[in-house]
Amino acid sequence: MSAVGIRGERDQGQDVRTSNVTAVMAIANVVKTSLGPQGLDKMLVDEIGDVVITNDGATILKQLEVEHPAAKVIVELSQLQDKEVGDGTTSVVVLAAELLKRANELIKIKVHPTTIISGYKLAARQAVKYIQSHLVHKITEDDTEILINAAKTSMNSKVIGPESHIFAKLAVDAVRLVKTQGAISGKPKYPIQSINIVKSHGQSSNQSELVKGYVIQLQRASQQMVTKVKNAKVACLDINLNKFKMQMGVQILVDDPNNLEKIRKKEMDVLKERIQLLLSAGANVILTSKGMDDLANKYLVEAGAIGLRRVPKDHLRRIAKATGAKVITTFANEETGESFDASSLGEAEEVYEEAIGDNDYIFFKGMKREQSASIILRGANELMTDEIERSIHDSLCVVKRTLESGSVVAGGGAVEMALSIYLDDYSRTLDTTEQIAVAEFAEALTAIPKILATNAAKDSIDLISKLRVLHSKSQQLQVDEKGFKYSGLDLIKGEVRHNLRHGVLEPTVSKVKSLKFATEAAITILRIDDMIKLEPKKEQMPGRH
Amino acid sequence: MSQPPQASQQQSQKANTFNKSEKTKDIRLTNIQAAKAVSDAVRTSLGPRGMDKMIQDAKGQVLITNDGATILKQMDLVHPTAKMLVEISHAQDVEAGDGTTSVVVFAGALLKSCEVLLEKGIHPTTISEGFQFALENALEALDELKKPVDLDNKQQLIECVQTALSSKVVSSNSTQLAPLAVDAVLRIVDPLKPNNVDLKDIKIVKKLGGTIDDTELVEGIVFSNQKASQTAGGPQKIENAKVALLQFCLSAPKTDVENSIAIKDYTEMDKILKEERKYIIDLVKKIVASGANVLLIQKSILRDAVNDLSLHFLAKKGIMVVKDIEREDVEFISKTLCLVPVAHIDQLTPEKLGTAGLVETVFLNDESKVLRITGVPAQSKALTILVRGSNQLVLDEADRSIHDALCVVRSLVKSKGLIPGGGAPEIHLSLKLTQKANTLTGARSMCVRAFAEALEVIPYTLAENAGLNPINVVTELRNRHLKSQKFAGIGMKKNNIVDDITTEQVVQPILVTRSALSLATECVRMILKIDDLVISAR
Repeated sequence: MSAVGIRGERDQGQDVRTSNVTAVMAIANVVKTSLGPQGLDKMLVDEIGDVVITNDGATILKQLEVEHPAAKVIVELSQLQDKEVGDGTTSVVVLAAELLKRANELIKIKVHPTTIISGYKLAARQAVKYIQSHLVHKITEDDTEILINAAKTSMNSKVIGPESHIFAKLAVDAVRLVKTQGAISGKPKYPIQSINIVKSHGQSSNQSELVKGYVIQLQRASQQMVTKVKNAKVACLDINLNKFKMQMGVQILVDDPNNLEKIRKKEMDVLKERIQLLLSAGANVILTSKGMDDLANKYLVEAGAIGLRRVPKDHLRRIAKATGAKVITTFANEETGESFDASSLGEAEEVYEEAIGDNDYIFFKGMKREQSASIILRGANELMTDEIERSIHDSLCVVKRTLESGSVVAGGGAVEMALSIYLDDYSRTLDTTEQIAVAEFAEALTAIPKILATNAAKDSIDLISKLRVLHSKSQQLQVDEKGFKYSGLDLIKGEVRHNLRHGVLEPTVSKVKSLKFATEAAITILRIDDMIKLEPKKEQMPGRH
Repeated sequence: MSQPPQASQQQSQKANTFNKSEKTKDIRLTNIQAAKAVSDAVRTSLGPRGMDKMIQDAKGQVLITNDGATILKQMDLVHPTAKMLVEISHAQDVEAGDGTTSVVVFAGALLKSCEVLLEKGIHPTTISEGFQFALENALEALDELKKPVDLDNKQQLIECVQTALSSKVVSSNSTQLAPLAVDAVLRIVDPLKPNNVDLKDIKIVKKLGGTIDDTELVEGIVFSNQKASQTAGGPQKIENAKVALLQFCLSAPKTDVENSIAIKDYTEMDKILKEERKYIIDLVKKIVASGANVLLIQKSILRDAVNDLSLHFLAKKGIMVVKDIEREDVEFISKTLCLVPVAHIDQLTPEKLGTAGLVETVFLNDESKVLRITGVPAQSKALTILVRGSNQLVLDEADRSIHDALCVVRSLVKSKGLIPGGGAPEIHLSLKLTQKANTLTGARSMCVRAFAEALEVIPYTLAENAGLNPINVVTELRNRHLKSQKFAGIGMKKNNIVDDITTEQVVQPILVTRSALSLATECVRMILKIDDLVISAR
């Protein structure tokens, strides 16, 4: 194909597919050992020497510097799963890789890629339908035990696994605290981004707690300020509370030494008047996203108010929203003077500073408008708290999705095995060439329980066959009384058990989405039969090969 | 400039082959070779079962597409003849928007048959004329397949768009995207000029997140990057909006860099503060007086578009402020909202404002925000398509596909005729031309026959890409067309030959095929006429 004459490399047909599949497999192999409750962690060191220890698939892949374009698709896939679901980032990658590997084998035996693609699409559609109709377990919002179990399942694989009973409850309570009614749909919404996670290292991780209110890592602007204000009136400012300075381009020329002192005094007076405006409006907790100098502190100390400076803007906005305050950007009023309206103040029952570990934190409690939740995480070191934060985030997502979708499925490979058997049977009803692709899809699904068992150092072949028997039995029965269809792996004891009863649960959405995403990603890569890599531009004579 | 030895060796090799003029016959053959190679490169992407190409550009960006024009544009070809093929694919994209792959594939096939004709000693000019003659006949024969299109018959239009989308990555969403494209184009058709539409009146806004299913048509404007200012707690939703498009800034004027204001007395400090406020307040008062309650402010690099002070006052007055409007969007906004951009505050009069039923910040389902202006005046002729996609690759591909879909509808508006798809027209033309060739004598007959054979490459490739046996398919199609089943084509639903392809709703605008045939033939004629290639040394 040299005659095409491109500046760069070009691969076609089987070469591309094989190289794509190899790249994807390489990525999957990296995260494979992190799958499941007995999965192990990765230590990632970046170029500046920062260390991350995690077993969260999305985080691992984000840290890897992937060059191969097909591998990038897979990395994006895990990122997508993280964004849309928040959990199952590892399994989606493993599944996509398995699908691709099997597709490549099929292509080698001369099955046309388009046949495989339509087969995979069909299989994914059927699988999703089967999950919805047979495998889900409906729950209600008040079903705390199920929610806690779902959160626990997501934590099991993480470093906080042993303390999952504490953290699961924490996560469920936090999500419940931030529940709001959607403005338009009227459906309850769970905006988990308004759950504030604060990390402070020191003490053990099970000392972590949930605080009803807003916690932010800040110190009072001055040590002389009071540490606690009750019935707080909160002013949220986006104004510099420093000694006033003229803007750029304005020069102050003094020819009379008396004037010098007056100008200085004027500068101070501008600030003093501003503080006075705030205080006379009744504010006793003043937050600003900008600076607050000693002069301002002095006035606030005298008035017995708390001043907080350099509050990050997003925190400022959230506090303003929760307390009912308005973020004020200027004092100017329409009469070219300055004023401050008391209606811009927010309210909270109490605001106080407290030290946790080495750091000082400001607590806002009993805020007027909405309840907010903060989770204070403790841990032996920063790596630990970082990993706990990621795990908590996953669990919060799981709880949120469970509440939203109102149904769960059994974990521990139960869904995958049930689908595998179902699709295998289904493939035998197809008389087209897609049959073979559907059958491979069914086989690919067993990769998840297999890896789960292998990671737990159990005999995967033995366990898988037992699992298969139970699921096959369940699908032959008219009525599945004993709930064989919920059979999954117990990776501690190495047995097969009823996972719904033992509280190994995952939100349905997570499973459905990861199936869909994995299939889509596999298809995206399968459809590629030509890869062109252009060389970085350099000066070259136009030429022909 | 030091180069690694290997590279310089390569370069000198190239220089050798290029800096001398080559023999006429050779140059023609190498030209044909190069062009054929290009067409081979894209032929696997033809048709609904076509494959995609993954292209990593010089900056390392990855692109996955099966749009012929995009592939060729990205491939950065160096051979001059190869570049001509890139050009025709681009021309097809501009003219018809679809069929960019088929035009290149067909040109490649024509060139291949040229080779054979040249070997037989037929003069290039004769071949060129013969092809032109064949083309004229083909276009005539094409009209026999034509079915008239009624722009009121939406279903028919949608089917047509679905055929165009069937080969794309987003094909599974075609049931949703096709009606969207049809609605969009039909809305902007100007009753005064019913034979053309300007696709610039449809703005495609891409926003990462969600899935393609969330793509929607908005009769109005959507801004994905610009937001209503929140800093001073300005309103996020305004009903019955009066929109002003400002091309000046709402901030205090600055002194020039060299100049400065000198203050000698402390009382002057107050004055400066007050003056600045007064300036802004005056601006705001004038805006309020004009009745505007939504301000769109054009991006300026010279001064801040707004400052805290002006935002604060405007927020107090309940006026929404949207800054950083791009210069290139100004025309579109003016057209959509029927407003006149205002360059100075004194020109801000109520007549220059546009109206909109609702301007609001909308949360999309994945919690990202866009600003949406809806309820535009009835006479407005512009609208927006908000495209969503889960990742950048999908998003870009969806954008390209929607563009193709819009083009298909446009070509139907331009020339109101439909023909079947699925390789049926090519086989039909091929048969007609073969019959025509039999009535002729001499070299021209040969050329027409060669043209007819080249046409068969389209159904051949379609079948091959679908995993069918191309020889069986093409011969059977020929057979059926001989039995005057002139709508027989390859159906992709069941991967078989269908008696009447239009029953499977596989139809395309006649303009696409017509323009593809003409463009490819012209290009081939041009390549044939080249007998020397001189590359001037730099």
